[in-house]
Amino acid sequence: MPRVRHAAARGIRAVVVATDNAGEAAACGVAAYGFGSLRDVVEHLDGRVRVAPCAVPPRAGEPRHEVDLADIAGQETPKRALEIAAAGGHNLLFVGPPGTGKTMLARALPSILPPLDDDEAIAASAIHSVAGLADPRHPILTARPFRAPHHTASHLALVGGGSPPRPGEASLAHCGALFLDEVAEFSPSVLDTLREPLEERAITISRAAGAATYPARFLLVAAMNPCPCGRYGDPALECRCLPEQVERYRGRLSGPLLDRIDLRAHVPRVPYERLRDEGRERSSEVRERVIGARERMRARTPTRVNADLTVAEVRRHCGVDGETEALLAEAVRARRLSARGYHRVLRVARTAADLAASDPVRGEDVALALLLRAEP
Amino acid sequence: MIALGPADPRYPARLLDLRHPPDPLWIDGDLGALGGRAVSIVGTRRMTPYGARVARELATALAEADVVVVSGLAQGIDSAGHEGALAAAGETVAVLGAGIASYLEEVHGKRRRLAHAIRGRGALVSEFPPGAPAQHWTFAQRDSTIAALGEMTVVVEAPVGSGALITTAEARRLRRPVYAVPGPIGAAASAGTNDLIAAGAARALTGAEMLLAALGLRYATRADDPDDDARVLDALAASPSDPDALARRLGLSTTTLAAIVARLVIRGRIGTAADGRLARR
Ligand SMILES: Nc1ncnc2c1ncn2[C@@H]1O[C@H](COP(=O)(O)OP(=O)(O)O)[C@@H](O)[C@H]1O
Ligand SMILES: [Mg+2]
Repeated sequence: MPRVRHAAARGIRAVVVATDNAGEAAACGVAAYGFGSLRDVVEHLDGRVRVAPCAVPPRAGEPRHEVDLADIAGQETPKRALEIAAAGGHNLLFVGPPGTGKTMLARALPSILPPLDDDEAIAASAIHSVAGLADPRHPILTARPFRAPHHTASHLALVGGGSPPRPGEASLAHCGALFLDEVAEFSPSVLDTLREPLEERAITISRAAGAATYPARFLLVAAMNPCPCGRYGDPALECRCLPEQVERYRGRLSGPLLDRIDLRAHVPRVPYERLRDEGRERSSEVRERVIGARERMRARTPTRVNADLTVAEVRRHCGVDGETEALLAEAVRARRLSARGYHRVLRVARTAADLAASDPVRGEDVALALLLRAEP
Repeated sequence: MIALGPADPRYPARLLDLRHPPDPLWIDGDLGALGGRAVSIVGTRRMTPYGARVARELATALAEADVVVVSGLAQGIDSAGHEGALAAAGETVAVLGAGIASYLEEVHGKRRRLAHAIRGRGALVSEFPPGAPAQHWTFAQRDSTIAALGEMTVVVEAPVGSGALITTAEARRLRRPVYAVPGPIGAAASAGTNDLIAAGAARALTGAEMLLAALGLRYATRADDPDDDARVLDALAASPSDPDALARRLGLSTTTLAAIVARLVIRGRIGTAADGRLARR
């Protein structure tokens, strides 16, 4: 599929491919002729047996989502964090005791992500095609990918490799989300390989057989327990971990990865009474806000979501009122906020304002960004 | 590093009250930190967030009043005490359960950084030769030395059978005041401290102000917080909380709470704990 896209971009209007790939090729906007053997190709070109170009396969309908936000009781703040992540592309970490709904929250993410535009759909589908994961009946993805590799995943599985080079989970998540559940259980060296895609938004795999670069622009969502026994901070249970065990456990999610996480939300145990509360917002309503926020971003910075704003763009688009600015300046002076953290807070605040359809970044947006800040 | 015998005029005078004063005492750091006003802060390694906050707060108040904080540089309450003193630019003394060189070689992570900071703002001391490894009995012995180095001893959190109770027992033998921080009934980390109070072996400590008054010093009170700020700080006094629970408890909207929290975070009164909950600093 990437080759057909490349050809189409250079003005080629018809291609000859294997029967199984004809649908994918047709979806790239060229006449695609599918054949089972070279003899059939010759017969077609000689005009003996004419074959019709493959029809553009229909797109699959809107996918049904596994979890709706309305299925999740309580957790208002974690839900807000998820909404901000989906809108602004901010990487997110959920921390909380086992069984409080961290996995469930993360799995609700696809239900609030904006739809793929055409270019994104082709780009994401192309990677699935190379990996041999495209559905021949619907080769073009209609929903953003949501990849959730297990914590036993290897380097190869996560970032790709092999000969010929094949894309890994990080590339399969391109234009979508990569969910690392129980992130502290991943091997630290495997996690470290995510540094490249998080910084470059692509992965280059070099092998004797040649190098390949696969795009890997994904939203990272991670979830973890607060400590090895999982009870730290649970008011009903006593944690049995020593402080240094807790610290080591948290340290597994270290440097480069943590540096790229904009949001952190604690996911507490929901009190029993609240498990049956009414009036929870549905994903479809939240998704409308996310789509609206994305449109505002596109109008300002067409190629970048808020998480990727440059420092100059932060200065231009994330102005706050004098009082809020003075408050932030005080925090930076007192070293309670690093320069990096300061810009990060403003990017997240920008997204919160976009979700509220507000042009100026308001004091309350900055407050929320500070509340959800990942830096200690 | 130097080694001082009890006959040396520079030897910390309070240690001479012990039945067997360390001979010699190995010291790495500032000798001056051993002779002046000092309080010992001890407690369990398995502290709760509440214990962490109180140990830190007491140590900070002592440091601001130029009182040296003495402890054992174990994980938990000990470390929180040393940290609180250093955070207020005060001096602190760590009494080790192993030789100084051996300890520095073995320790890693946060306590390694802490040990080096203490060498620069106080002293590491040990009654064991520099290369001696830690053993079970060495800890019990240094627990007594901690009691002797402080004018008084504060135990912040200790379960039944905690090593911190060796320190308080020694302080009582030395007829030095002992204070215990009361904790919730049923919390294992406070069972030992609550027992001390119940038995009359320690006085219940109600805060930094009481501790400084006992030393004959004045507590530099902070300006009163505005009402809303005070309500949030009160609600976080016993333990950290997540924003949703806090907003419900105080009957505030999340937006209002976020604004108050932002103000308090920026002023350094509260922070987000490593698991994302809000905690008092
Ligand atoms: N807030 C919640 N609302 C509704 N169900 C919940 C909630 N939290 C947990 N559950 C239930 O508990 C199960 C375990 O939740 P899960 O997301 O796997 O927790 P975690 O990942 O935090 O361990 C879920 O499948 C769901 O049935
Ligand atoms: Mg889970």
